Amino acid sequence: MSVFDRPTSKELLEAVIDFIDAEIKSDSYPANKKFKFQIVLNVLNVVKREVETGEEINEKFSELGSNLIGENEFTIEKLSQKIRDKEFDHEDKDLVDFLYNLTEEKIKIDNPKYK
Amino acid sequence: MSDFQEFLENSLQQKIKQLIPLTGGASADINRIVLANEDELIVRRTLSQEKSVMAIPKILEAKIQKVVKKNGAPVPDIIFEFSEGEEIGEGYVMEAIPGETIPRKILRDEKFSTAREKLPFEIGKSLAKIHQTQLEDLKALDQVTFSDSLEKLFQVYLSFNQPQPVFDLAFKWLEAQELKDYGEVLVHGDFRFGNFIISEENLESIIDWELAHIGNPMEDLGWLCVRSWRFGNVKKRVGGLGDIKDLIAGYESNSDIKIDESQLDIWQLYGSLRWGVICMMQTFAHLSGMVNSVEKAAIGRRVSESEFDLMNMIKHKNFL
Repeated sequence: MSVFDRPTSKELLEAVIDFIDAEIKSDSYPANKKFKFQIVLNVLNVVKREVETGEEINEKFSELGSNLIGENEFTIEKLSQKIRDKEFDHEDKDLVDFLYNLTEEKIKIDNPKYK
Repeated sequence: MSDFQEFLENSLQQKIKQLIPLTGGASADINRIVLANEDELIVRRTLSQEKSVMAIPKILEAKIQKVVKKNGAPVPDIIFEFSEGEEIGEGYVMEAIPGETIPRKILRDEKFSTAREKLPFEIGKSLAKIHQTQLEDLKALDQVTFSDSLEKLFQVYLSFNQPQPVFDLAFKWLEAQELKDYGEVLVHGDFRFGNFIISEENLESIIDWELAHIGNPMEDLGWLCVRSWRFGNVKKRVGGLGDIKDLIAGYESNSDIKIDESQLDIWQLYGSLRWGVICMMQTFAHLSGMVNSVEKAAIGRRVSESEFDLMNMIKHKNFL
């Protein structure tokens, strides 16, 4: 449910992304500004992907994380602390798998071309 | 005319036609000097108010280049050093070596195709030479052990108060490794494309010595292999250019050190972690309000690239 009208936050972002994309592709656009706007475009695309699937990923990894650490509430802070305190061995398969899968999801948001 | 230009003209006893600012290291103000007779020189300096915590003093940088040059490694000749007041700062003037430093051009432009074939070998060979530099004249440099580097990096990471479990795992993984002692050598500290001047024929010069220290020779080799320095050519482990075997062959052709590839793996993993923490450093410069920069904000979301590299190395032992 959302009380907000269309365009949705995703649709608004898409409109801005399309605008900047068309603008920097035109020949008249100064080359020195293109570089900066390419970064702006990348940032907006990160936000768009996170708006699309971020919540789902957060929920999935809260649950997986809570199984991993054996506690009801999972946080990234807790996991880091447990690794620092050596509650996990650095070769612990469950930990390594969890972090590998989490990283795969994060890179899909931050830079899907990176793989 | 600026005071700085006047100072340079007096020191060089020549008129300067133009002083062109270059983008360079994070802690250096770098200019290309075009003299009235069209000859060119480079000046690197630090203004006293902007001394970096990480970089060594510019005077020491110049001294390293002189010592390294004496030993036959390719670095620009130092013309003169200076240490003046606030307006002029501290720095040195060196010869301008013709060639290209921009990695994407070196990796892709047709005119570098001949050079590209031999670069991994030649870079290895030159690095071996650097690592044989006599250390007596460089006592002012910090000696940094692997555990010192790890501890320092961990403290920097902690200072942001943003937990990254992958980084914590990487620190533990690295702490558990057995490091081979190759003896202490002069480490360049930022040995990668961007800091190499390349001509159409070969490697001409190695520049930007501001992170130099005394340490383990594998640090430079591992850093060169970090995926972030492959500039898109991910399957070429050595700077996006070539195979690790060529780099090692070049190095060993000029050194008594025999490289154990598994040691290089460890240092590459350390390099990826180091790059990840540097990205955090950049983004927190923005988040802390020190600077307002969309580039620095964006780089925060590149930390996950380092995490991805680290997990590939830790889980799959994949160093490519």
